[in-house]
Formats: sequence, structure tokens, C-alpha cells
Amino acid sequence: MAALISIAVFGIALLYIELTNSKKIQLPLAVVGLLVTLGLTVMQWNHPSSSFNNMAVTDNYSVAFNASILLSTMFVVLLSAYYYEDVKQHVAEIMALMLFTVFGAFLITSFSNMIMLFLGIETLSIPLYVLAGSKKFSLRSNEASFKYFLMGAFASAILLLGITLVYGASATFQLSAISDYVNNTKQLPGIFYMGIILILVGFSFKVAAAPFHFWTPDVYEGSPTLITAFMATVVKIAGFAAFYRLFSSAFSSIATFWEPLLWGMIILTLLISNFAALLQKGVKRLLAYSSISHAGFLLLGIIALNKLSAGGIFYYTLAYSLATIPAFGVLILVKNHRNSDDSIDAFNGLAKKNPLLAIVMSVALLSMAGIPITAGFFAKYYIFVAAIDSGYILLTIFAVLAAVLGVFYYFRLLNAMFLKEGEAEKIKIPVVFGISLLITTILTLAMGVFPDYIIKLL
Amino acid sequence: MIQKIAWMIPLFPLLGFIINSFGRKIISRNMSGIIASLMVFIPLIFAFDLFFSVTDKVTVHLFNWISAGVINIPFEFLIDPLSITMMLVVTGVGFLIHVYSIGYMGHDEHANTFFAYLNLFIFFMLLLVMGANYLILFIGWEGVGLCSYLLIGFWYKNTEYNNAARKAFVMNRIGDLGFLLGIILMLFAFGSVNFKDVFPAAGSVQSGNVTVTIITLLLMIGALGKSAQIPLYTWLPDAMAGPTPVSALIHAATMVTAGIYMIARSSILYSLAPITSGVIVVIGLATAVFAASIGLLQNDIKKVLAYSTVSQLGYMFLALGLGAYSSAMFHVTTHAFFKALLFLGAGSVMHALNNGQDIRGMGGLRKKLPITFITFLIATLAISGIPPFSGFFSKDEILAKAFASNPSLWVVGMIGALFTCFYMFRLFYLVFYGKFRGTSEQEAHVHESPLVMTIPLIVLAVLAFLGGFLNFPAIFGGKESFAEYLKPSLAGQYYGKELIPHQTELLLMASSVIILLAVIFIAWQVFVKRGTVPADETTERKGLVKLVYNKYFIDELYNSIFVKPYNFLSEKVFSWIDRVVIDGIVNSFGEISIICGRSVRKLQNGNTSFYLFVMAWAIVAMFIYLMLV
Repeated sequence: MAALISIAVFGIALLYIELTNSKKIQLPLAVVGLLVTLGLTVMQWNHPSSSFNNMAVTDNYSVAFNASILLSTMFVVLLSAYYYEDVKQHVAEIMALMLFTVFGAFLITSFSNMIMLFLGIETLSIPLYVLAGSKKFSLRSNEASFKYFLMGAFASAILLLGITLVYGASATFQLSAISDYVNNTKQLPGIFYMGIILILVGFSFKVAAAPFHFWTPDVYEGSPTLITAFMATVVKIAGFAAFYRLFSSAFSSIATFWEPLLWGMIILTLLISNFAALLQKGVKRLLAYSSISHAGFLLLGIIALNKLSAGGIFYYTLAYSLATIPAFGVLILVKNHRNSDDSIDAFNGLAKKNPLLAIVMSVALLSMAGIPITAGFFAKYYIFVAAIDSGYILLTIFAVLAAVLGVFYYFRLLNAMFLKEGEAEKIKIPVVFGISLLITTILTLAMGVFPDYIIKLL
Repeated sequence: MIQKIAWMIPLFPLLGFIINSFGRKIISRNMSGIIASLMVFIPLIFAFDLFFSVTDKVTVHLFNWISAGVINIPFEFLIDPLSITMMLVVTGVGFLIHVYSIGYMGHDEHANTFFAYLNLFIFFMLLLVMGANYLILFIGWEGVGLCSYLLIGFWYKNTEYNNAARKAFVMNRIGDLGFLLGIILMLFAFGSVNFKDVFPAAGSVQSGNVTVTIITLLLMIGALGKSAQIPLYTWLPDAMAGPTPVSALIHAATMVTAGIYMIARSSILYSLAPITSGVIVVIGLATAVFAASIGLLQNDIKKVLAYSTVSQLGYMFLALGLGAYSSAMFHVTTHAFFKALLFLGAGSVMHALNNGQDIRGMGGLRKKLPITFITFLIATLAISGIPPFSGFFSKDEILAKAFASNPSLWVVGMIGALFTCFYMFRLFYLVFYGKFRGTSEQEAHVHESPLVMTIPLIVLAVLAFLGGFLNFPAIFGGKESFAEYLKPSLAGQYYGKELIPHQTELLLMASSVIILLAVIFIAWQVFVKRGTVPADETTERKGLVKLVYNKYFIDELYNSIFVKPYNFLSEKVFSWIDRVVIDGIVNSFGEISIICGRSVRKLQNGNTSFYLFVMAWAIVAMFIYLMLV
């Protein structure tokens, strides 16, 4: 509760700071806001509480995910110092919108009532539509914003319809009550099942799982790169936290109904994303498909639905964020120095003149590919173990094969950086930028060497 | 107090490595050497402190490293007499060699890198001897192997040196594979690789248990590689390609004794595996005599010492096989003193002669290099086993144990000792006596090494002289304090009454000393009185001499039965299986994937209404599923 208020207050404060138009205050204020909120969040560890008439609960599950969301936002905000260096106006507004997105994310990691879920998803999404279009004079950015909004509205409507149908059957929005209803009713009505399907579709859209992923490549590519990094990390963490919370509590006893649907979606997601990524020329689009493929792996954690799931999903989303942010960070720098060229060829010979950037990028890519001593390895490992534990052997084998396919396109980029010749020039790395790249890289390696500390949290 | 901060011990050399490698362009060569030496000296002080404060076992827990399911591997250090002994040897001898290197490597342009590697080696070696489970031991084990590889090939511009480094690495890998399999099997058998779990569990195992026998055999294979025993010894003579301080530190005093340490550490397992112990006795004794016989005819000063190291390690193995673990550790200690001294002395000679290594090109150096001469003499007497020098006590202890087990073992061991004595004095006389046989240019250049090199020589000479008194035998009224000190660590050793009567032991000692003195006299007759110099390369050698001179053609044998067939097989596999079969499969997978990719990409056409269309149909499909279930 305190964290929620804090993030909102700092967001509003940032809007007022915009009037001063002084970047010297804006960035520190955003960072302080995030730090204060992080402190308030962490203080809630092991102190479960509920608020808003029991519509939201704060437990260790939500605290862990919230902390991970704040950490990711922090790195994105730190990168923004350089990204918005030349932008004169509205930078504070962009940060404020990010904080409001985080506000929405907080709601959906800790909801215990469907209304709260919908409220959270909308609060999360609407600032994002604006953020996607925040490069006001870029046609691509506007297109991304509009596409995202159009399809997002469609998905929100479907989700809301789903919630309504579930309410129609069970006469309650409360998760625990829905769960009781499922357990105590012999013959569940058809509209309840339809409701579940529609809710599943709504979530699949948010976390970009096939066949509801179509918005992702277009929006990720069109949005300003920094915003793409923000969407790919924060939204994904929050989306999966909410997804698992809902399906593991309210709908867990009829898992036999929705698990086959999820099963099909996992196969489809892994297939489409990995095959499509093979041929991408643009790095941003490649990372978009990679993000879709990670959603496929994460869904394995949800379908497993056992005691390893929560920890596995948490570890995976954190590992994925810590790899995605530096990857986009390096992309921003390279793109700026190559006249907005974000193709793989722009990375040719990067290692020669910019070994630090190449190393940061390599660690990020290796982590995404799931190569050991990076966090990504254990992320996949825990998710796979969870799935095997629940008997999804074939699905896991399929996922492993998909991961192998993934290695191929990540290595294309590594190949370009280390083995190819390119017009190499030294890229100057801004201090704050460099620090956040290094910290994320070190954290990725640390998580890969000491996975226990994270996985034991949940 | 010191026990609480014992975990810092390996950090100092690691810090030294970091400073010297990152600052290699800033720090001067001398400064780098001083930093490196200091980073070994501080752990030495710590180790002394531990020596005086720890008498039993102390486990220093750092953090829980790996815990997956039932496996729990903490990152812990074990401080007990055995690890303290090794720490003292590693840091003590290591420190002296670091100081010596300041003088020896001072002119090398890559001296800073050299010191960085040397520090890194000390770090891994300390990890190896301090680890409280087999996994940390293994990390150290691999780490020292890596440093050995880097330092053998230190002068990387020479292809032959690089080949030597690669050979050392590959041979060690063969052993490491055995070691790793042993660790894995242990994990299966005992459910743990922590010393504190495995050793008590082994206490309830029957002697001769098959699993324990296999585990010990596998671990032994690792030790054979690292400690250069038959059949994996051929890398060590080639490893002499590295700078001489490296040969002294890594390939004589410390790393190669890691195998001995590991077996002594696992003494309880080995005491339960009589078959393995028997194998170790045979291998050790065979290596001791075999390598010593090769040493008889070598003409490269470092090669002679290298074969001598292999041979001495054989004696240590013999002791391990006989269950005399403390005797093996005692010989490790004294050997570290006198063999490091011999190598550093050889280094001093080479330094004086502008890197000449052939003893046929030396001679008469005793006047020109007085300090080197005297210290080398002490080391030679020590390794030959002349009382009261340290080698006498440690070697005699092993031979006495051998006699107690079976007199014929003593006889064979004694033959090896005679060889040792002969080749050492052959070397000694050829280097320091007679006339100088090198070029006049060299003769003008000959000079005693600077103090920074001679002081370590003197300190080591004192140790090589007095080291034997650490374990002064009971027969002369001593307390065998070294063996007693190690008692808490060596659960597998029999600490009972002496196995052979005192008179017999005295008789054995006397006879061995008399024989050795005779050998020294013969060597003197041959090489000083008659001034014999070994024939040069062009002379044709015949029969046994040819066989020994060419090291029994073992390298050639390995080359034709392993290397060549392997290369042949690799080529065939590459040209057919890899090129045609594997590449064919992989490429077709790739092509199919790309075709799939193309069609998937067509779906992403940027048209929002198409996206919504697909989504809507997907929902419809799900509803159809609902109707079916």
C-alpha cells in the first residue's frame, strides 16, 4: 500500500517538475522515487497484508515481483539519461508515465479480485500506448502507438468480457470465492468455461503468446528503443506474475480444461517466434521475436502449475529482464553511431574497437540463449524441471529443441560482433549508461553462479 | 582469530594476480615482482599462525555453493595439519621462488605477466590444498593445470614450447577425466563429495569394497597425470620449456605433488582398497627406477632434474601404496626444499651462461659461482640421501617401510637410489669441476647471480640441510614429530609399533650409506679424475645405451600408437562423417528452418485487421475445443 502511494506521488511530482524543464532534477527525482518505493516494497517482505477491502493482497509473491519490476524500471530510467539527452521537452512526462505503468503493474501482481486485475491492466496499458508514440515526429512511432492501442483495446474488451462471464457464473469477483465456487459446483456452466478462455486470450495478448502476439514485432520495432526495453521487461514481469496468480489460485482445480489450450499455445509460440527470428535482419525485430519466444518458455512454468512454478517464473523474468535491458542499451548506442541502422550488419566488428560493449552484449545474448554461467541457463533449467515434474516430458523436449534453434540466431549476432570485419570506430559510452550496463551484466553472471539465492525466495 | 580469517589466505595471491595483470602496462617490472612476492609472503605468515594455533580440524564455512536436491556442496576450507603443511610448503617455497624470479625474469619484457600467472598459480594451489571437498579441490586442480599450461608456453613465440605446453595439458586432461569420474562415482556412492561426509561414511565400509576400489583407482588416474607417473609422465620432462623458476615451483616443488596430497587426503579410502594400494606400489616403484635410469644419460641440466623429479615422485607413490602416508608427505616436504634448490641452482648456472643448458658445455664453475656451487652441493647430497641431509631421512623412511612390507621392494628401491646418486653427482661434477667447455664468449660473461637470487638459494639450502630433522626418526631417539603432527589428518595410516627391529633398520641405513658413498667415489673417478665428458649428439650409440639415451623411445611409442592413429581417425572422421553426414543433416535442418521462417514471416504483414482476424479465429477455435470436451 505504502509502495503504491509512493510510486503514484512521485509520478505526479514528476509531472510538476516538467514545468521547471530541468533535467538535472528530473532524473534524480525519478531515481529517488524508485529507490524509496523499492525500500517500502522490500519492507513488506514477510509482512503479508491486504488492502482495498481485501481486493489486493501484499504477500512475498507480489513483493518479489514488484522489486524485480522496480529494479528493471530503474535501469531503464538510468539509460534514459543518455537516450533523451538531446530531447528538450516532455522527458519528465515520459518518466512519470513509466512510473504510472509501474503503478498498474503493482496492482496486477497483488490483485485478489478481478476488478483490481482489470483496473491494473488498464493502468498499465494506457501509459504504454502513449509511451509507444512518444517519438512524436516519427511515423513509425505513431504507427506503433496506434496499432498497440487498437489491438490492446480489442484485447481489453475480450478480457473484460471473460471476467464478466466468470462473474455471471460464479457471482463473485474474489479469487478465493471463485475457487470455492469451482470446487463446490458439480456441473460448471458453459459460460464459465467461455469466460476462462477469454481471460486466457486477454493474458496471452498481454504477454505476447501466439497466436495473439502479432502486435509485438510491429510495436516493439516502431516504439522508441528505450520504451521497447521497458515494455519487454516490466510488462512481461507483471503480466506473468498476474497470469500465474490468477490461474494458480482461481482456476487451478480445472487445470485439465485450460492446460491443453496452453499446451497448444506454447507449441505455436515457440515455433513461430524462433522460426521467424531466424531470418530477421534488424536487431530490434530480432529481440522482439526473442521476447515472444521467452513468453513461450515462461508459459511452461504456468502449465507446470506446481511448487516449482512461482520460483521458476520469478527467476526467469528477472534473468530475462537483466539480459534484455543491456541488450537494448547496447543497441541504442550502436544504432546512434550507425545512423539509425539497427541491422545485424551494424554490429560487424564491434568487438575490436568496443570490447566492453561487445562483452556486455555477448553476456546478454548468452543469457537469453540459456548458456551456462549466465542467469539464462538456470532460468530455463528451473522452468524445464518444473514442467518435467508435472509430467510434460514431450513439451519440454520440444522447448529444448526450440532453445537450440534460439542459439542459432543469438549466435548470428555474436558472430557479427567478434568474427566479422566492419567499419570500427570507438563508441563513447556515457558514464551512467556504462554503469547500468555493467551492473546488469554482473548481476546476470552472479545469478548464473549463485542461482540459489534468487530461486529460494519464492 | 586467525581461523576466522583463514578464508583470506588465497585472496592475497588472487589480488596480486589482478593487480599485476591489470596494471601490467603501468607497474614497473621490479615493482610487479615485489607485489607478487608480498602477496605470497602474507599467506605464509597466516599459515605460520595457523600452524601454531590449529592442532586438529577447523572448517571455515564461506557460503552454500551448490544445493540441488540431495546434493549439497558448501564452499568451505578445511584447516588441518595436512593442509597447513601443504600451505607452508606452497607459500614458503613459493615466496622464495617469487623473490628469485625478480632477479631471474627481470630482463624479460613480459615479466609482469609472468608474475601475474605465478600469483594465479599460488591462488589455485591454495584452493587445492585448502578445499574441504573434492569439488573445490578439483577447481584448484584444474586451475593449477591451466597456470602450468600458460607458464610452460610462456615464451609463446617458440613453437616447440607451445607443443610442450599442449602436451602437458592433454596428458593432464587424461588424468583429470579419471579424477572427475571418481568424484562423480563418489557422489553416487556416498551422496556427497565433502570430506566431512565421505570419510566418516567410509569408516563403515568393508575393506576391499568394490565401489571404493573403483573410486580410488579413478582418483589415482588423476594423480598419475598430475604427479607424472607411468604411463602419464612424458609431459613433465617437456614441461622444462618453461622459465626455470616455473620448473622449480610448479614442476618440482608444488603442483606435481598435488596428486600425492590428494591421495594422502583420501588416505582412509585408500586404506580400504588394498588392490589400489598394490597398483600404486607397483607404479610408484617402477616409475622411481625407470625415470632414474633415464636420468643417467641425459645431458640437458633441466632434463636430468626433470627425470629426477619423476623418479622422486615415484618414491612418494611407493610410500602411499605402502600406507605410509606421512612418509610420503615428509618426502614431499623435503623434496620441495632440495628440488626447488636444484632447479634454482640450475637457473643460476644458466643465468651465468646465457641460457646454456647442455652440461657438456659447462664445467669448472665452482670458482666462478661459489654460492651456487655450495648450495647445489647441499641439494645434491640431500637428494642422494647422505646423512644428515634432509633427503636421507625422508627417503630412508620410505625404504624402511618398503623393507618391512617385502625386502625385494627395498632392493629395487635401493637400485633407484643408486641411480639417483650417480646421475646427480655426474651432473654436479660435470657442471662444477673440470675445465670450462663452453665458448670463450660465455666464459667472459660468467658471473655469480645477484643477491636477490642467491639469498633464496641460501635459505633453501638451510632448509634442505635441516629439513630432515622435522621427522627425526625414533631410532636415533627422535620423536617423529612430523608424522605425529599429521596424525589427525591421516585416518588411514597405521600408527603402531615399528614394523622392523632397530638393528635391521640400522643395518639397512649403514649399508645404503656405504653403497652411496661408493657410488659418489666412482662418479668422482669417472668424471673428475678421468674427465670423461658424455659423447656429443653425432656419436652413434648402441644397444642399451641407445635405448636409455633415447628415453626408451616412449615418446615415439606414444606417438605411433596414440597420436598418429588419432590424427588419422580425426582426418577420416572430419572428411567423411563430419563433412558429409553431419554437415548434410545440419544443413538440411537449417534449410528447412529457413523455409519455415519465410512462411512464418509472411504472416507478419503489418496489417492490423489481419492480426485481429487471426485472433478472432483463434478464439473461435478455442470455443470449438470447449464444445468438444
